[in-house]
Amino acid sequence: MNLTSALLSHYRRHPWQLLALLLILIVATALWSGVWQLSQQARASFTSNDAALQERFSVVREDASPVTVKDFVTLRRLGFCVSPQLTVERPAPKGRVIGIDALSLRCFSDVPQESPSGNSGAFVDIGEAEKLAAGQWPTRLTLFAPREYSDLPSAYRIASLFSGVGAGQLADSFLLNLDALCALVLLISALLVRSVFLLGLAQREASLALLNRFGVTPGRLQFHLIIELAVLSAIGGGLGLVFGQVLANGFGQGFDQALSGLFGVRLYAQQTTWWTWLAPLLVLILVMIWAVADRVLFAKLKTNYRLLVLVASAVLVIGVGSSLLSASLAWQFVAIGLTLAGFGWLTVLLLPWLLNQLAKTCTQPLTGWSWRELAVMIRQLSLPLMALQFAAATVIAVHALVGTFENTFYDWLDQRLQGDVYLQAPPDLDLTSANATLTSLDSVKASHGVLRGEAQTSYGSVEITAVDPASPLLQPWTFLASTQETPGDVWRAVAAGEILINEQLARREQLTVGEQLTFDIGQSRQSPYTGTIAGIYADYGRPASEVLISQQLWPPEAPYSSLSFSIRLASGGIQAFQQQIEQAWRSPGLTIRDNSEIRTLAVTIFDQTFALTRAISALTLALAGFALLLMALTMFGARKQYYQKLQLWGMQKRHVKLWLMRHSTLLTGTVGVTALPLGSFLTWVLVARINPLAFGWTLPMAMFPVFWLVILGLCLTIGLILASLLAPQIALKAGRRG
Amino acid sequence: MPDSVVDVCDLSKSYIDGTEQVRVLSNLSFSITHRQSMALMGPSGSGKSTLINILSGIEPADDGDIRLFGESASNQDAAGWSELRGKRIATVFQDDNLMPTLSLGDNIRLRAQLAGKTNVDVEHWLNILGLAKLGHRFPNQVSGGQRQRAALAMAFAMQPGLLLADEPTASLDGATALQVADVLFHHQHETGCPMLLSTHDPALAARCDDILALASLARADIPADRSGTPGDGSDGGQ
Repeated sequence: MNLTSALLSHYRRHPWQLLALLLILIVATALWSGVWQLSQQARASFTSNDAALQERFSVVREDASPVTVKDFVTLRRLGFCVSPQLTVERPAPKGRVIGIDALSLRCFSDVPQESPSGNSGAFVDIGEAEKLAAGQWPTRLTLFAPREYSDLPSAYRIASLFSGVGAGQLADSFLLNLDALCALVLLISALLVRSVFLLGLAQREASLALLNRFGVTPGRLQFHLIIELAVLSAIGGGLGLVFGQVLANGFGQGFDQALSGLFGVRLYAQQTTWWTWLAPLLVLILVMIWAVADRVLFAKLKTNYRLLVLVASAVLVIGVGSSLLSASLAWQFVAIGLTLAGFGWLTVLLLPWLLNQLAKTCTQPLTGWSWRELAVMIRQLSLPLMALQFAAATVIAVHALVGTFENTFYDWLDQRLQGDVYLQAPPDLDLTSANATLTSLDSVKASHGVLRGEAQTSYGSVEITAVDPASPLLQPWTFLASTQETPGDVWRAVAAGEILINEQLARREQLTVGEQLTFDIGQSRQSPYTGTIAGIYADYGRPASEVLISQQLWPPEAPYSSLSFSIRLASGGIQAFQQQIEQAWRSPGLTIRDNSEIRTLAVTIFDQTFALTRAISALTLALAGFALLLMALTMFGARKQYYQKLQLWGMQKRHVKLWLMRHSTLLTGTVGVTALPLGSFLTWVLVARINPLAFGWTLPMAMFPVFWLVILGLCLTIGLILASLLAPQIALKAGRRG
Repeated sequence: MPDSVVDVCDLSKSYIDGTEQVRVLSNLSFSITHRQSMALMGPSGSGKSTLINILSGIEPADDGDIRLFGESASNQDAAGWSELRGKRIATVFQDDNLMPTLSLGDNIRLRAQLAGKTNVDVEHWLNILGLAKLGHRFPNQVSGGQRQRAALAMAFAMQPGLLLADEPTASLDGATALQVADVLFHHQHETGCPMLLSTHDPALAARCDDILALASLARADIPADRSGTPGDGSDGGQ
C-alpha cells in the first residue's frame, strides 16, 4: 500500500463523507457555473453591441444656451478638435437632415463611424443643411468632441451624449449583480467544502501523525492532501459544469427575454471552447484549495476567543461602514461580503458564549446541560450554520427586492398605462389635428396625446415629454416628492408652467423640488426656458434623464421625435378603433397596442429577470440545508453518547428524542432568526445603495414578515429533519461486549 | 423487601461476529441478596460487561429468567427498564460516566433529579467522596480518580437499590484505584446497597462477599442458513 492509498483509505471507512464532498461540489458548481455561463454569454452579446452603446461627448455652454457657429470657431481657434453637426428637422412630411463638416470629422479618425452622433438621417455638408433650413425649419447645432476635454474655457463644459448612466453601464450593473450572486454561491460552497474536509482531516489526525512517525515528511503529506482536494474538486466540478450547462440552457430563454426587454440586446449562444470549461473548473479548484489551505499547510493555531470576536467585529464594522459610505458599486459588493463574513462569524462566536452564560444561570441541571450541549453543537457546526445563515439571508433579501419591485413597479405600470390602447401617430402628424380626429371618432371615449423629444440642459441632453396636465388619465400619478399637497395640485402647477423631472435626473444632478431647471427644446426659441421643479416622479426600468412639461410650453415649431396617444375606448373594441383611425388618417399599419398586453409583456420581462436570481438563491438555501444535515449526521457520532447517557440514567427514550428535537430545531431556528436582520440589511443595501448606483433609481424598502415566517419555518423543518435523522443514533446500545 | 435483589436463572447470550457465533453467557444462574457485594471475574470476552448490560436493560438476554427486586424483569419493556435505571439501579463504568458540559456538582444534581431526588445535598456527597470545593469544576478540569469519585457520588446520591460497577477502577493508577475502591466499599458497607462489581483485579474481588467467575466460551462457525440464534452449549455455566 502506498501513501496515496493509505490516505484515501479514509474514504473507504467514510464513504458518506466522500459522497457529501462530491455532492456539494457538483451542486455548487452547477449553480454558479450555470449563472456564470449566462452572464458570459450576455457580456459577449453586449460587446457586439458596443458601437451602439459607446459613449460620446459634446461641448455645451455653461449658461445652457445653445451652441452656435461662433462657439465652434472660438473652440477651433483655441485648438480644441471639435466637429459641428447641424440637425435640421423638416416638419411635414417629417424628416431629418444632418449637416456635417467633413474636414473636422478627422477629430474622430479613431472612431470608425459615419457620424459622431450615431444618429440616423440623411447626411449632407453642413453648408447645404443650413441652406436647406433657410431659417424656416428648426435646427440644432451640436459640437462633438472626440474625448472628454478637461481644459475647456470656463464658458463651456463637456457633456455626455448619454445622460449619466449609459445602457452599457446599466447592462454591466445587471451582470455585476449576477456575478455577485455567483461569488456568493462560491463562498457558501467554499465554507461547506471546508467544513467537510476539515472534519475528515480531524478524523485522520491520528493516521497522519502515524504516517509522519513512519517517515513521511509533513510537506509530502500536505502535497497529497492538496492533490486529493484538487482531484475531488475536478471530479465534482467537472460533473457540476455539465449540470451547470443544463441549468444555463433551462434559463437561457427567459434570460434572453429579460436582456431583450431591458437593454434591447439579444442573447446569442457563445461558442463553447476548452476555455469555457476549463476556466470555471480552475476557479473552483483554486477556491476550494484556498478554503482549506490554512489548515492543511499550517498547524492549527491556538485561537484567542477575544481576539477572534474583535476581528469579526472589525470585519462587520468595515462591511457595514463601506455599505453606508462607499459610492462604488464594486465596493458595495465587497461590503456585502465583509458584512456577511463578519456577521456570520460573530454569530457562531457569540451564540455559544451566550448559551453558556444562560447555562450558568440555570438552577435545573438538565436545562443547563441542554444549553451547553447546544453551544457545543453550534461550535462544531459553525461553518455549515454560517452557510445556511448566508443562504437564508440571501433568499430573504432577494424575495424582499423582488417583492418590493413587484409592488412598486406594477403600481407604477398601472398608473402609466391608463387608457385601453396606446397609439403611435404617423410622423407627419401634428398634435392639434391628431386630437381633432380622435375627438371625432365615436369609438374613442377619451384621449391624451404625449409629445416626446430631446432637450438641452446645463447637465447635457435629456429626454423631454409634453403632456396635457388636465387629462384625467394623468390624475392617478403619484410622486416621489412634490411642492404641492396633492397630485391634483402638482398637475395644476404644471399647467401653470412648472415642470416635473424623473428620479434619474434628480439623483444624477442632485435636483430637488422647488429648484429651477433651464432647458431648451430645439433652436427656434429665443431663449431657454427656466421652470420650477414641482415634482419628481418614479421612472423605472430605464436609465434616461427626463423632463416633463405641459404641452403649452412646447413651441409649435420645435421638433419632436414621437407623438403618441393613450386612448380610452367607448365601444367596439380595438379592431373597430383601428379601422376608424387608419381610415381617418389614411395610414394603414398604425402602431396600436393593447395596454393590457404591454403590461403583461413588461411583467413577463421583469419576472424573467428575477426568476434566475430567485432560483439560484433558493437552490443555494437547499444546498446549505443539505450540507448542514450531512455535517450534523457526521458530527453527531461524537455527541450521541450524551443522549444515550440520559437514557442510561433513566430518562425515557421519547423524552431524550424530545431533547434532541429541541436542540436541532433551536440550532436551525436560531440560524433562521439571525438571518432575519442580516437579510433585512442585505435588502436595504440592494434597494437603497446598489439600485441607485446601478440603475439610477431606488425603491421604497418594504418588509415581508410573512416570508420571514416561511424562512423560519423552513429552518425549523431542516431542524426537524435533522432530529429524525439523528434519532436512530441515540438508541441505547452496549458500549463494550464480552 | 425480598431478601434476594437479583435472581438470574439459566441466562444465555451470544453474538454474531462476522460469520462466527460468539457465545458469551450460557445457562448462567446466580443471586445477589440485600447488603451483598459480588465480584464478577473472568478473562476478557467472558461476558462480564454483557451481564452488566443485561442487568441494566441496555441489551436483552437470549434466554433465561431475570428477577430484580423480587419482580420479573425478563419481559420488561423499555419504559420499565428506564424506570429501573432511573430510580433503582445505578451503573458506574470504567470511564465516560459524566456529562462533560456540566460541572461535577451539576452532574450529581442531574443524576439525582432523574432519580426523582430533587432535594439532594450535593455538597454532602462531594464531601463524602473527597471532592469538597471541586463541585464547580468540569470533568476535564479534574483528575481521572476525581472523575470516578464523582461518578460514584452520582450513583450514591440517587440512593439506588442495586449498584452495578463495570471495572470502575480499571483506568486508574494503583494508588488512585485503591482510594476509589475504599470509598466504594465503605459506602456499600454503610448503606448495605447490593453491588455487582466487574473486575480483573483479584485484590479488589477479594474485598467482595462473593465472587462469580465467568469462563471464556467457545466460538462456533455459523452455518450459512442460520444467523443470530443463541447456542445452547452447556460449558461455562456456573
